[in-house]
Amino acid sequence: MSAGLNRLPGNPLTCPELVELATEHLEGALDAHTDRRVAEHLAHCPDCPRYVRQLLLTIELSGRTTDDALPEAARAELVELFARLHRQP
Amino acid sequence: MRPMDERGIDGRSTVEDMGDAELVAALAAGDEAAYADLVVLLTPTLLRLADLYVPTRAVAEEVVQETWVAVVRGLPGFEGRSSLRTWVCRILLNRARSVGARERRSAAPPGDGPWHAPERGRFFPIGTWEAPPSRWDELPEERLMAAETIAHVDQAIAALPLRQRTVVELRDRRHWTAAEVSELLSLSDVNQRVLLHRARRSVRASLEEYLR
Repeated sequence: MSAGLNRLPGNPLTCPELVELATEHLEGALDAHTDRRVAEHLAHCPDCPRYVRQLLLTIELSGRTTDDALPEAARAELVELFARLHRQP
Repeated sequence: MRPMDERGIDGRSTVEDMGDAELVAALAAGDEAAYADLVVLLTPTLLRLADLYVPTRAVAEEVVQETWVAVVRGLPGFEGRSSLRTWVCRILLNRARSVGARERRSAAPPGDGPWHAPERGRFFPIGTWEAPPSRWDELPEERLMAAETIAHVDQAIAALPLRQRTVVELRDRRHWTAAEVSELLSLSDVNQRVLLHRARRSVRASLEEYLR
């Protein structure tokens, strides 16, 4: 246990536990007590804040990916279908 | 309606800015541009959802085509109790499940298989990092957000097991809410988060490898 984490009172989270809880922490899905333990761990751990930062960057980068473009032929076919159905419901 | 080539670089289209009521009215009036935008916007999601249940891409494409027919025919009955995209996706899922059950002779889609934490082996037994995350987050913004990096993330997502891939695409790419995703995929909130967390961990690990 690093010096920082060692000074925490009670039963501090370990780093692998922090990794397991990271998404629940980011989603606000943890109970108040556990969330406080996560915050305490992050305030003292030399490494886990970087892990969480990298998860946030991962989320941001995932948000910048885009779906494969629909081939023009497929799009045209579906629009033609719409036009046909709309003319003859 | 903006023409297609004025779409923003993030791929968001006009229908995403329209309210459902406005969009449904446009579709009911036979607005082909609105329909084309909706098709472009939702078809990739529909194919991904169909992939969860049917064995081949060709069957998935058929199910998607049938879904759009059902959407156009069923539109007068759309009551706005859920969002339009949820309604469309639910039509797709009902079809994909019954087609999948017929083709596979089983109602249950295959699971993702066993999962191994990407950080396994990187901790001391005492519970601290032995091999902490590398410092790729300190790279310059131009490198982090480069098209090549985003292409790598895209590949990493594509390589995920299907259920994880579906959840992370809906949540982190398409920005659906946790509640929408859980409800649509009939997942508990906990399971939705487990799939999302596994997906994010794998993609993070892949970025760490790529940005060494």
